[in-house]
Amino acid sequence: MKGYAKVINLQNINTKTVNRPLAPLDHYAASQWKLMWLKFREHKLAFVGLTVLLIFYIIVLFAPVIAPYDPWEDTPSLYAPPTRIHFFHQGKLMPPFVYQRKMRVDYQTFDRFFEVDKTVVHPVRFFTKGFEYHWLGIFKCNIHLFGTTDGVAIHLLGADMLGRDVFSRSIWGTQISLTVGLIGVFLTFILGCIIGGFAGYYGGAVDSILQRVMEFVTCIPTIPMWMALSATIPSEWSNVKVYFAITIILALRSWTGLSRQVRSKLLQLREEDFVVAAKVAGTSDWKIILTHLLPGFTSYLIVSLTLEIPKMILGETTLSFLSLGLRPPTVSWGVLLQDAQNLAAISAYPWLMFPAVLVVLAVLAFNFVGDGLRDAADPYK
Amino acid sequence: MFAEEKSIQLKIEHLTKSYALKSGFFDRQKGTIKAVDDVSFTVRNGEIFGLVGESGCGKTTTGRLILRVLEPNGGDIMWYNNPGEPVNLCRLSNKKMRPFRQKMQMIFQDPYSSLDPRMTVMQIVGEPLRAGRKIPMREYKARIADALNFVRLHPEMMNRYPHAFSGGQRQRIGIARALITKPDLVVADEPVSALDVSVQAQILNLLQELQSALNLTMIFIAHDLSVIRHICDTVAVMYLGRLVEVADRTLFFQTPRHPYSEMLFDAVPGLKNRKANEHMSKNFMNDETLCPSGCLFFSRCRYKQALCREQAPTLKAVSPGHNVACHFDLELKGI
Amino acid sequence: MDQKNILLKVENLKIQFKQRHGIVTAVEDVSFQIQKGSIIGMVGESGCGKSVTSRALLRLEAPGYIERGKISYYPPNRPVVKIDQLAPRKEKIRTIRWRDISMIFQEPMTSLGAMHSIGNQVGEAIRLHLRTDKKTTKRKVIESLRSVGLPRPEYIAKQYPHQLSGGMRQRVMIAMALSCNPNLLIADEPTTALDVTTEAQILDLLLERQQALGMAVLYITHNLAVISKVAEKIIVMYLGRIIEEAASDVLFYAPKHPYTRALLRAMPKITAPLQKKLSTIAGEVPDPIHRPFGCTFHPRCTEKISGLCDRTVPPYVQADDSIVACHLFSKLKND
Ligand SMILES: Nc1ncnc2c1ncn2[C@@H]1O[C@H](COP(=O)(O)OP(=O)(O)O)[C@@H](O)[C@H]1O
Ligand SMILES: Nc1ncnc2c1ncn2[C@@H]1O[C@H](COP(=O)(O)OP(=O)(O)O)[C@@H](O)[C@H]1O
Ligand code: SF4
Ligand SMILES: [Mg+2]
Ligand SMILES: [Mg+2]
Repeated sequence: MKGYAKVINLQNINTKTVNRPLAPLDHYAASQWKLMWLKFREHKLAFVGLTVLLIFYIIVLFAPVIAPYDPWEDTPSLYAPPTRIHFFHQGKLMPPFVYQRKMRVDYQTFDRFFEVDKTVVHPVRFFTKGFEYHWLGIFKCNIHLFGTTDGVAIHLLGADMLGRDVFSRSIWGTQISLTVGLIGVFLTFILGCIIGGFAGYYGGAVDSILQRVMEFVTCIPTIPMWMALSATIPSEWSNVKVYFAITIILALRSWTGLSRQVRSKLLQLREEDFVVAAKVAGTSDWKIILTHLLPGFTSYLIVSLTLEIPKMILGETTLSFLSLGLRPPTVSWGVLLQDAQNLAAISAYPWLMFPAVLVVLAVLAFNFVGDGLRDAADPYK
Repeated sequence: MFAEEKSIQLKIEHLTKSYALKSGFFDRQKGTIKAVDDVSFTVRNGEIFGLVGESGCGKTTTGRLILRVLEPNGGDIMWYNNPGEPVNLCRLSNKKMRPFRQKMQMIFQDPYSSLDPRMTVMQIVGEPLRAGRKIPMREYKARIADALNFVRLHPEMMNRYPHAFSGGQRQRIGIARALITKPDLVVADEPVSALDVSVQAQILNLLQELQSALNLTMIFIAHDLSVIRHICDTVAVMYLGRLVEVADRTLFFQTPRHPYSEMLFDAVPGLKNRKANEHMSKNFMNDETLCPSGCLFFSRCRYKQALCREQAPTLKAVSPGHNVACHFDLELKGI
Repeated sequence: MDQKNILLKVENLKIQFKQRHGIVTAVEDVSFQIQKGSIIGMVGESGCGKSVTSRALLRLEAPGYIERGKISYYPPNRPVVKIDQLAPRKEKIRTIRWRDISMIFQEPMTSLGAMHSIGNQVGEAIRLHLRTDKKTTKRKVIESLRSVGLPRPEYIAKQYPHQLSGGMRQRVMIAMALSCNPNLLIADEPTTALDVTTEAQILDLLLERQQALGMAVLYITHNLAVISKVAEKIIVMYLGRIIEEAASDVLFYAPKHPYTRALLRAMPKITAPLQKKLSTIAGEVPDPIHRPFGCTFHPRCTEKISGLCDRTVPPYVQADDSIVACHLFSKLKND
């Protein structure tokens, strides 16, 4: 063949500096966290979940500000349905306002009904003065996000059997319900890391025994275990004590999953060549743990912790709902839902179910975020 | 021969490492497996010492024992490249071992798992430097740039993460890490087995170049005889944790003397007409065929006789520069 | 060519992947034929589209999709099956998988489930496709395990994949793939993860089974040497295209395409005289998302014709006994 006969100079093939064009350059210099964030952002639901969670925790932080009323204050408006916010007064557009309502009882039937006084307009104002509280337990303050200036009540989500504002109570409930998860998960994290770390680092007999313990704990059915444990909480304990007891009970059940993960990840990472490389280089053991092992599984830890929180929220709600966890006057979502325990209450006063909506929202949001994180946890795949 | 020209760098004597075989509910020990069994050899200054054998024969374990990443059950590792008396590395505490760590490094087989994906190239390549003494940032960076230049990577890539690189480039990063402390000894554990043929050639050339430029002593582990022949000065063949043949390259490739070496020659891709050697597919390792008292290779050997079942052969010199562990003085066909 | 003997025909196959940065063309304009009972080798560096092409033959190309092209399967005594038009998840293609065309993969662990014993898994494959009763299945399992040279097949049938070595797992995969007597076996780098000795054994085994059962084999590898003495015809791929196709002897002794030639010279050869340096191919395979214009090999080619190779895609031309896609051989060059 003509071309082949001319085949030219084959000797001058050199290894030159190798350069490969690819995706945008900053991708190359992106750290693990940045890659994870990029991948996480692609996960739409997780992003929505994250936004929802952000809002929730802002509520936790500003609960007394957002809640217009004292969650423990009884008012005469027993089982008041949600207050309507109006914009038109006698056919005229106005800034949002409410009408005053008066409860009347029909003494023949003992039915309660609310009479609306449509003559006077009570405008909804923002940052009004109301009942006094200590924000973050320190700052004395009486500003509330919204309210009326003339003392007319706005029950956004109605009132309960003692006339307490359900909206305010739900908002205050977030403080307990959403932090039980966090504190519980913190305890889980410590238990899981220590026990899993021991098992993974020492291996051998320690590992075998701890693994059996983990399996044993995993086998105990969750709810009966919780119930048994919470039944041991003395009834005279203060709210704060009970709160911490509950977090500990929740954590006692959930550390196993985490410690298994820590263990297997440690065992896996310990065998990675880059850990051997660090040893060859003469890097000390604790430095290897700090620079190679810990960063290697923090992302996995975060994922499983995120997925553990909703379980805790549900745990608290379940226990409190069954009157085994937190007790009134503490307000948590579970405690609030105790009021919605029978069908009659739900059908007559459906707004009492509102905390359940919050539970579902929070749990879903956490799960979505957890899913997104799980996909992002290993950005090198 | 060579021995007079080049001084000894490293002498391995009776190196042994065994692992517990475990199984069952509580990980009960069911016996031990000798991953490295009474291995002795000498590595001379500035040579490339090749270690071949099929997977699971103990090559990696040997390499890691020499670098003291694994603790041997017995044996000595004498380090001669030292003013005064040779040092026995096996007798050193972790702390006393530290200055020697800078002088011995390792190159890994898997270009993916050997680089921590969470570190930048600078952190990876600089790790052996930081493990030693404190070093000013300026010098640190300059030395990393040097090391990257060595392996033909652009120093600008220092701030990138490993995921930005291809397999061949990652292997270069691994080599830069191994060479940054200017070590005397490098254990290269199958550095090209996981690479494509064309990349393999680039890396082999690079290793060869660097070895002569830095006068490195290298223990080069491989399972491919063509690669070994291309790069190594001395060849050691390992089988089930033992050395069965150690010879200078020319001697080994002209006349291999151990039946197992012959089998390795048979396995070289493209060398023999595959259809012609039927015996290969039937012969392979399994625990049942081990012969505890005699020669480890007994069950697969074509030349075995009654003696082989009873007595284990030891590694002994059959000619200058050629040691074989076989009862018979075979002269087999090389290439 | 003999039309009657054709088993599988691929015409102008193009496979794409949708990705974040855009659409990646993994395979483009690939055409080849497989004759009944023949052994075809497919070579190329990793990422060149070997796996994607071969998976598409069984419609396992997801998440990629066939953008264009035809795949026709001519089963003996049955009408032709247009595989490219079958729905990838429907019954029709599933009956072709395993029974007519079966496949073995590089990492047998991923295709063998970890939770079931070897016997169960092989049995399941046999039972599903041959609809045998329990006793026959069991007998066939043992038979097929024995046929791939596994010792004590009754014992191995009770073991789990992680208890076997890589070579043994690959044997199990072969046993499984051959249990239904397929007309075509696709072996996608079955020996890449193994050492050369085991590789040789597996290759011998495949050959022996091929001769016994008379099936065709498409053997994929990134190492030309592995199939040099085995395949009748070799297809060389580069960046998603076939760049050369020739009988194995022709390809080895008179390679045409500059890439094939460079690849052959980059391999350390055990029989060649010792060289100081291996010749290499400059640079690396570009990422498929940045496919070069014209001939995809031109940025690395030492013989490229400026103005032609970087502009026009070289057509397939017959050059002596090979089919080549290179402008050195095309008419365009002389115009
Ligand atoms: N950590 C370990 N625990 C138990 N056995 C091991 C361990 N590491 C290696 N082995 C065993 O030691 C033998 C030698 O392994 P290795 O040195 O990795 O071989 P090679 O590198 O030649 O493939 C193998 O049989 C392997 O199963
Ligand atoms: N799951 C996937 N997603 C996106 N792209 C893919 C995927 N699988 C393969 N590809 C693309 O196809 C190309 C060829 O891959 P493959 O056929 O696996 O190469 P090989 O020749 O090594 O078997 C890759 O370079 C990649 O760009
Ligand atoms: S000693 Fe005997 S059994 Fe061992 S390798 Fe030599 S001939 Fe074979
Ligand atoms: Mg190894
Ligand atoms: Mg592939």
